Amino acid sequence: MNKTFVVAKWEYLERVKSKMFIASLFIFPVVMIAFLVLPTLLATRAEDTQKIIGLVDPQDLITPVLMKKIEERFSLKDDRPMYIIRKIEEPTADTETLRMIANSLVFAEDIEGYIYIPPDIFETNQPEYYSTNVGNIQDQGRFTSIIRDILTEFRLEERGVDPNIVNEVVKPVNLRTVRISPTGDERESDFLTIFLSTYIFLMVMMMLIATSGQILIRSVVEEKTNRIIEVLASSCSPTDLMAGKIIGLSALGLTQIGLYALMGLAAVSYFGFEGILFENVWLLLPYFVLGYLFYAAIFVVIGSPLSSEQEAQQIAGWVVLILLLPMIFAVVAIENPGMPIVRILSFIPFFTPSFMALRIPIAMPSTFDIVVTMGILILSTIFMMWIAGKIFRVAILSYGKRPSFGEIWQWIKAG
Amino acid sequence: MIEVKNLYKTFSTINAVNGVSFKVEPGKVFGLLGPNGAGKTTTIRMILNIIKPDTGEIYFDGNPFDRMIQNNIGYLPEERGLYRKNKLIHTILYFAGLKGISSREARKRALVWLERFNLTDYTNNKVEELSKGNQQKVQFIISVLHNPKYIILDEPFSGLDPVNQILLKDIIGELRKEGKILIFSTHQMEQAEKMCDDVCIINRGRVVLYGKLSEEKKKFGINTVLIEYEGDGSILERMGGVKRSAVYSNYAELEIDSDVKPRAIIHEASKYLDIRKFEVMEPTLNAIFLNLVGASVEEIERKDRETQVQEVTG
Repeated sequence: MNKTFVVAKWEYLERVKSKMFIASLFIFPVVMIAFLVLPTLLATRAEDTQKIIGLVDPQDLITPVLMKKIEERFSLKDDRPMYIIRKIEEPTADTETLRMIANSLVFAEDIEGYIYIPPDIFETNQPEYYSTNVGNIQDQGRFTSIIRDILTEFRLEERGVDPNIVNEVVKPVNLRTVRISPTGDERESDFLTIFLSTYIFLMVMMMLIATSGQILIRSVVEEKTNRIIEVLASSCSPTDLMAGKIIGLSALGLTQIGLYALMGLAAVSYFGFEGILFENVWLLLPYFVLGYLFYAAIFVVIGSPLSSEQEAQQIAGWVVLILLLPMIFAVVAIENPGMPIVRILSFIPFFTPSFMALRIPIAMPSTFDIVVTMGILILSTIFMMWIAGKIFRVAILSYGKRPSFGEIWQWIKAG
Repeated sequence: MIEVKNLYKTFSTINAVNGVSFKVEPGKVFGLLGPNGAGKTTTIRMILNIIKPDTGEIYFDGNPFDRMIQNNIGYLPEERGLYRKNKLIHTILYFAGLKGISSREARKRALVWLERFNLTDYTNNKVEELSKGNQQKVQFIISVLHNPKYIILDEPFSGLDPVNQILLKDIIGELRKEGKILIFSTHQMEQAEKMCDDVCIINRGRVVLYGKLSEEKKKFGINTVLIEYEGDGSILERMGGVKRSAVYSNYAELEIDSDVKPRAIIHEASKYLDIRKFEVMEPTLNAIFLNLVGASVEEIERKDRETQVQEVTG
C-alpha cells in the first residue's frame, strides 16, 4: 500500500505541475465556451446593421404590404428597421431586365439580395430569394413567414374574412412538459434539458477515461523505452506500480473534472441555467468509478505490451472509439429510453457505464437492471484488473517487437 | 551473504540460465562475468525478483526475498533509465521513496551525493539537460542513496570518462570496506580483473569458472607470457609450444604448453623480433576464459551478433 501511494503521488504531482496539464486545463473550457458562445455572439453582432433587400415585384402584387410589414415586425435594438426594402423599378423594363438590374445591384453589394415575387404567386405559393449568399437561414425564414402571412391575409380578405379575427382564433399552442418520478417529484423539463445534462455527463466521463487512459499508456511506454522499468521493478511489485499509476492518474482526472465542475457551477449560478440534473449523481457515481477502473485495466492490457509512443497513441485512439459509441445512441435513447437495443447494450460491460448514464437521467431503469448491470460491471472490472496485473507483470519487461496474442495468453496462464 | 542455488530459467526455447550457483560474501567485490548474452542480466533479474526462476533458490543472509530485502537492494541496470522531463532532485527523491526513505532524509543524502559527483549545479535541472555521463552518475546515486546492504551494479563503468571511472572505482572500494555485499557484472574481463575478489564466469547460461580470483589464477599455473616487441608479431601465432595467442600490433599474450619452458619461447621469438619486454605472468581472465570456453569473449559476442543479423536478414 505504501509503495502504491509513493507511485500514485509521483504520477499525480509530477503531472499536475506540468505545463501541459495546466495548459490543457484552460484550453478545454476556452474551446468549449468558444464553440457555445462565439456563434451567438457573432450572430447578434451581425444584427446590429441594417440590411438592404431588393424586391422585384413586376405586378406590384404585394409590394406595399410587404414593405410595411417587414419594417414593422423586425427592428434592431435601436428601433431602426432591420431590413430596408428597395423596390427595383424601371418604367418600361420587363421582368428579365428587372432581374438583371437586381443581379448587378447584388454583385455591386448595393443590396444584400432580392426577393422575386412571380406573377403566379397566389397559385404556386413560391416566392424566390436571390443572393450571393443563401446561407442565412434566419433572414430567409423571416421573409418566408412574412410573405406567407401576407398571402394568407389576401386570401382571407378575398373570402370576406377579417384577418384580425383569424389572428385571434388561431393561437399557437405551447406544450408544457413535466417530468414526474415515483418519488412524487415533479419538475418542468424538456428534451433539451435532459439531452444537455446527459450529454455533459457522458462527455465528462469519456474525457476522463480517454485522457487518463492515454496518459497511462504513455507513462508505461515511456518507462519501458527508457528502461526506467528495471529500476522500478527492483523497488516495488508490479501490482504496486499498476495500482499506483491508476490511482495517481484518476486523481489527476478528478482534479481536472473537479475544476471544470466548479467552473460549470459558477457559470450555472451566474447565468441562472436550470435543470442540469444532479439528483442521480449518487447512482451515477459508482458506474462512473467502475467504468473508469474497467477502462483503466483495458488500457493497461493494451498499452503495456507496446514499446513505442506512436503505437501507444494509435491504439489509445481505437479504445476511445468504443467509448464514443453511446454518443451515437444518445438522441435515440433520450427519445425512447425503453428501446431494447439500449437496454441490451447496457448489460455489456464495455458500454454499461455510458448507457446507464444515458438511461438513468431519462427514465429510472428497473431495480433489476441496476443490480444486474452493476454486478456484471463489478465482476468484469475485477476480472479485467486481474488480467491486467498478469499481463503488466510480464509485458513491462518485454521490449522490442509487439507480442502475439498467443504469447500474451501464455503470460496470463503463467502468472 | 547472497546465496544463489541452482537457478534455471528458460525463455520459450532458450535456456538463458542453466544451473547457476554462487555465493556473494560481504566486504568483497563479486564479479559476475561473461560475454553479452551469457545470462548475467537474467540471473541478476532473478536475484532482484523481477522475474521468477523456473527452479532454484536465492537467499539473502539465509532468508528468501521479501519486501524488507527489496528495500535493501540497490540496482544499477545495464541499460540506464531515467525520466527525461522531470527534475533531477525529484527523480532521485521518487526512487528513494520507493525504497522507503522519507523525502527529507532522501534530500539530505542526495545533496551529499550530488556534491560528491559534482552535480550540485544540476539539482533543479531536468534530467534530459544532463550529459550521458552525468545521467549515469545520477543513476548510480539512485542505486546507493538508500544505503542498501546488497548492491548490484551491471556494467557500471560503461560510458564514464576516465576521471569518473576512477571516482566510481573509489566509491566501490569504500562500499566494499563498509562490508556491503557487492555484485559487479561486466563483460569486460580487464575491468573485472582489477576490481574483483571473487568471480563467477558464465557462458551460455552455465558457470564455467567460480571461485576466488587469485586462487583460480594459480590453478591455471604460470603458463602465460607477455612479449612486447618491434616487428611482425604474426610469427608468434605459428610458433611451436604456443597453445593460444592474442597478438596485437606491438605486444602479444601467449599461452604456452605446460611442458614448454618460457625461455624457449623467448629464444625462439628473438630470432624474428626485437624484444623490448618479456614477462612470465599469471594468466589473465581473458586467457582463462579462452582456455575454458575455446573462444574469447569478443569472438563469442561477435558470433552472436552475426547470427542475430542473419536471423533478421535471412
